[in-house]
Amino acid sequence: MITLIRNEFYKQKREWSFLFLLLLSLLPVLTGGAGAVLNDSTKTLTDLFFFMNNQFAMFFPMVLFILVGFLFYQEYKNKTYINWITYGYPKYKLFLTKVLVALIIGACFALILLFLFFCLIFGLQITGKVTADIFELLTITTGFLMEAAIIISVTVPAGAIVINLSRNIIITSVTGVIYGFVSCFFIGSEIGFIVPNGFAYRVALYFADKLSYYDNPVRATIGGSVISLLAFIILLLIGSGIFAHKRKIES
Amino acid sequence: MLQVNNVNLKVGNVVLLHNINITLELGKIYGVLGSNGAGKTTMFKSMLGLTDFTGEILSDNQPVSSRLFGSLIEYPAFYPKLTAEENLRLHARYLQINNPDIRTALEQVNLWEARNKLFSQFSLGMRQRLGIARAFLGSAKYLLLDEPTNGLDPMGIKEIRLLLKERLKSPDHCILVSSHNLTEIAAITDCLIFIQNGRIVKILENSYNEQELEALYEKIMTSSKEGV
Repeated sequence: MITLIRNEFYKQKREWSFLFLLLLSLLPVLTGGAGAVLNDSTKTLTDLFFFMNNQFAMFFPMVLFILVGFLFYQEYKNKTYINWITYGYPKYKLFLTKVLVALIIGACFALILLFLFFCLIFGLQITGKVTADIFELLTITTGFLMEAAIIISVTVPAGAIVINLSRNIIITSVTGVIYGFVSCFFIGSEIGFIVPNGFAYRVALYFADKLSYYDNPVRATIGGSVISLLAFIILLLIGSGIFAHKRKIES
Repeated sequence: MLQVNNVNLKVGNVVLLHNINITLELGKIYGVLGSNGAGKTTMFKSMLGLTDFTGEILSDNQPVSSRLFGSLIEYPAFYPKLTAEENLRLHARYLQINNPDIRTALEQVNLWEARNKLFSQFSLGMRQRLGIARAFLGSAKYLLLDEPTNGLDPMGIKEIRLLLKERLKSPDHCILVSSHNLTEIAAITDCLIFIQNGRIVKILENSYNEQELEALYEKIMTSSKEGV
């Protein structure tokens, strides 16, 4: 498995598309930062996080769909798929490797975004445009990391299913956009925890502002956690099954 | 020795391979001849385990593994943003070959000088040659070359022919080459396999020149059509 993962990263040499995806995933901080710098008023850390997190919850699933889509599409577009599946490795392992690589890159993107957010806060703190203490920052970080973990782990297998069914990066990207927007519809709902991305958003907000969490927190927390875990496992199994299914003729 | 026993493949109502039975020996080059859609590529794909065929394919009486094959099927597919050397290195890593002799592989196909060029910068002839180098890298016993001269100019075709016959033919390899080019097949192969409508219609030792082979091809294909 280690060899397969290393090979996947090796294939990405000189693939500048990842830089584009990284820039896309950093947009929430870049736009939030620009707004904060250009605006004269003083903001709280929660305000800034709220702004950044709204965009993150909407756009990051789209980035993840394109990311995992790209990793698989690389084999279809270059017609290397046939070679790739005849090296003698079980197909489910090849699938899991791509998914794992997408999870790793997705996590790196989220961490870079967080780092940039820290830099922004630090800069604004120096110029007196934001007031934040270290405890507040750590609390928000915990929430954001939990949110990112849920979004990444559920969205990547979902994207992997779409790309392997369609073998088309445009369809996958458009589905990613729809998936991101539809997930947002459930953010405000009391039963929105049934949708992992909506649940993830509210978890992050809980750490920034406890009042914005669900009215029935126990039900939402347990339900949301179980559903997110199940969604991850089920999507992974479905994706693996679709990919490993033996076709009459592979092409 | 590669044994293909009673291999059949049907997709919907269409029979793509019908009762294929052949035994292929090491040290020989086999030419697979047939019209478009005759089943040449499907037979190669079946050998690689890429179809859901019935029957069995054995190597020395053991179920065959795709790792025993080097192949160039349909198109020399590589990662365009990797160099020739990086592409072969990646291939070796998948096959877990320690210290792959990439230099020899590239020198055999006259691509050592171009090793640091990106695959996307290669001409079609260079791509085909790189595909052949990859097929031969490692410990592949059986080499499947599906129309390796497709799209090449006469000089490119000649290069591939010399490469196969003078440099790559060895007692450790069994090479299968499919082609529409009878000149090429007549010049390089030891044995001829005629395939039509998914059936092997004739297997012959190759003792023919191009003109004789052309006449023979026409005769076999016409008579097998009439038989159908």
